[in-house]
Amino acid sequence: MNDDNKSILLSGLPERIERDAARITQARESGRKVVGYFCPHVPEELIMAADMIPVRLAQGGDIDAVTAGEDYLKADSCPYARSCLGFAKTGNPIYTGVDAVCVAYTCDSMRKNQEYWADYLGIPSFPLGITQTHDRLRSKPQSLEYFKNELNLLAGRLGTLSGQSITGGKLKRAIELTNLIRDKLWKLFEYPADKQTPIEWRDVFRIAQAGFTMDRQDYLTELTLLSEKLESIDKDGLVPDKRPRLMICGSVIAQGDDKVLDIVDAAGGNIVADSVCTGSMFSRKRVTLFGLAGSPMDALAERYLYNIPCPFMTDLPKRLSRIVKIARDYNIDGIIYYSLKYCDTWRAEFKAVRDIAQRQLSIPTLLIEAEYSPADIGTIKTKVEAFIEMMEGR
Amino acid sequence: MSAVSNFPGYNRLVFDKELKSFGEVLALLGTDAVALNKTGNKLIAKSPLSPPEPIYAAGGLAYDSYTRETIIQAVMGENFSLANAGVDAGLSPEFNPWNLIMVGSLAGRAAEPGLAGAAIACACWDDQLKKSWQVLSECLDIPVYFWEIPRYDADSEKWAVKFLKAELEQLFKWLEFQTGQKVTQKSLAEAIRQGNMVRRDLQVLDELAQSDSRLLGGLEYYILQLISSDYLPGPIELHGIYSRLIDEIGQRVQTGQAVPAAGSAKALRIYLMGDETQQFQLMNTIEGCGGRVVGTDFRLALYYELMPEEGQPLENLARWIWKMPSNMPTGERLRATLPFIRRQKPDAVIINSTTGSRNLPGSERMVRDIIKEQMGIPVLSIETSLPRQDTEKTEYLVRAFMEMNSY
Repeated sequence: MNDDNKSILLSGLPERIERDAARITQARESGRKVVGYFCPHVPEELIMAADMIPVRLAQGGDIDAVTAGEDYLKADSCPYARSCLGFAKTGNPIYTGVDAVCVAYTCDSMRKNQEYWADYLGIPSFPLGITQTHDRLRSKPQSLEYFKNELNLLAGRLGTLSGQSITGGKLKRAIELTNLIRDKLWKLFEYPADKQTPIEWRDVFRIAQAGFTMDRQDYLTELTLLSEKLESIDKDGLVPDKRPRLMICGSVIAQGDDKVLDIVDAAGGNIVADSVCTGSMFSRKRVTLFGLAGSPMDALAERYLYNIPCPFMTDLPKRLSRIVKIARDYNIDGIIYYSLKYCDTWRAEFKAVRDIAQRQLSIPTLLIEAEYSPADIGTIKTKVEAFIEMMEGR
Repeated sequence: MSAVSNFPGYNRLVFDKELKSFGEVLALLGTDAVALNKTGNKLIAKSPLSPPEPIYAAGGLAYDSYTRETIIQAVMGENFSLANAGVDAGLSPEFNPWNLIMVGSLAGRAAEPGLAGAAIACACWDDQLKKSWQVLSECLDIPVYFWEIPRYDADSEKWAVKFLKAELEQLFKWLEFQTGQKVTQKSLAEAIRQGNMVRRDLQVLDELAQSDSRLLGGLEYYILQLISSDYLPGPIELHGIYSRLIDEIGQRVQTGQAVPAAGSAKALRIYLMGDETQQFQLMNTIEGCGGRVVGTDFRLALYYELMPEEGQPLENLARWIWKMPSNMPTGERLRATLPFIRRQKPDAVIINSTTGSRNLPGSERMVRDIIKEQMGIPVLSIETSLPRQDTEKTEYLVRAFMEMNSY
């Protein structure tokens, strides 16, 4: 993207934290409450419908936060999970500015986060039960019913916190706003499918992450402005990108966890698509309201249960088919499989992804295991350079 | 002399050789599940803390491969290279050695007929076990079925139990397909009744472990706890083994005998918590320092109370499983188990974390703090790995802890 087209959505992380923290402080002073969440299985629409401010707490890449988190979680738990607690201790204003957190019961480390936030950080911490064994064939109808009941329980707890009950009307409005954001974002993520793209995936990824802490209406406005600018660019005049086209999938890539992305950039790789929970996963599927009579809670349950294929769930075939589809849609030459050290759920599926990529797509997969410390930069750099060199020779 | 006595790991451990009926347990330890399966019933693998009743109700034979493969292959057999085989099969080298050994051991025996399938409970155990079975089902080409226990939250009881009943009904159908035997109210009630026989035995063993009369050695008690997770070779048979053992100990009481290696009457009473350790010699170390193992919570979730035998068996089973302490968040788990821990009258607690394990170790700080606050007794946290890895460090820590806290 040209410098002329730079949006505030592309401002750096420290600038964003400062700006959004100030907004959050101001809102709290005026009596509004702020609710944080970590995994994307928590519908932010519920928080909005309770007239509170949702913020996704998904920062990483900071070794001080990791170390601080070791007061609670052991050093051999994933650095993201440690950071989720550590940022609250090191005084990150986004983390210390929340009145409560909602924690989806996903992997072991996030479950522990829920307990430590409540018992050690003194912040109300609302758990959200989500089933692990439902499947794409929907052979377990009890899963959707259970999840819907858990969402209702969460809605009640959020309503109590805010002092405002969540009505169907408020929820529908929140869903509509969030769907508009999803539509705009998804359109951005589609651009890099074309070799002549006015915006690169890396920028779209930054924009998606900027939305974690921005006011939702402001975010939509900025997305709309940016989209209009991009649509006005004549794609035929753009030079086709000839770098190897890569997809990144695996563990959460938190805001500030730029190490591997920077290395890939520097080595001449071009990431054009992702399957990570801080990337395109949020915008991939809108919440579908089933006509005027449809219950918004039904729609939320349907969307948030079935469309975020995190490997704490047992439906591996669904994750594999999604990766294959993305790789085909974006004409991928190779997959970077990013596994945060000690992220058991993603790490254990590497072999399955590598094998299916080889078998069905004839493309290679590179496993990168990383911590948030700079100690592994050299090793990762060597692996990535060799991988990209190999692809350039194909 | 049982076959297990020929294993190198056996000879590093100090058993109470006077306890004759423990020989039956050692014989069980040295025999793999396929050989144990004399009934011809289908062998269904399971995770350590998923209750075996559904498998027995379907006419299957439950097999806790996590515990048994590791005891045979790593603790007794000292075949540690199986951990690498687990990595080759697809696990991360950062996984805990129980999973690595289980996967390494079973993946290497893909050609052998044996396991009919695996029914694994999610939420009751951890991510690594779930992933280990995902990998194993590929390697072994056997069906794996994940059933789910929803998180414990008093406010979700109504729909959580309903969900769990639906999960169990689907599990029964899957088990029926594997074993060819229908799960009926009657067969489920009978499985619950037989399971309760084992539960009562485990409760008696807890009483014996904590008795002032030093009746049961720490190592024997620990092994008896571990092997209870699948009721192999069957609940009636296991109850028979436990009963004979309990009877023999009863005779010791009558003759005034005590366990030779169990320390003095004033020994420091240790309760073990956290992950079960592969370093079985820890029990010997504690006793060698003049201490006693008076209880563990490794399998407590399986016998914290009897399953109700009156009323609807499915409803009873679902409610009992949902309230298993292992399914609770740490604070509630401790609230539920503290009465059991107190009953063992410990002077101190040792919490073990297994290297690479992230479920129970993730709440280790919380457990330590609650025990100190609620019971006011000293707590030692240790980390153990494979049976012979860094044992000196563990021994040193335990010895220092015992010395500091002995009177």
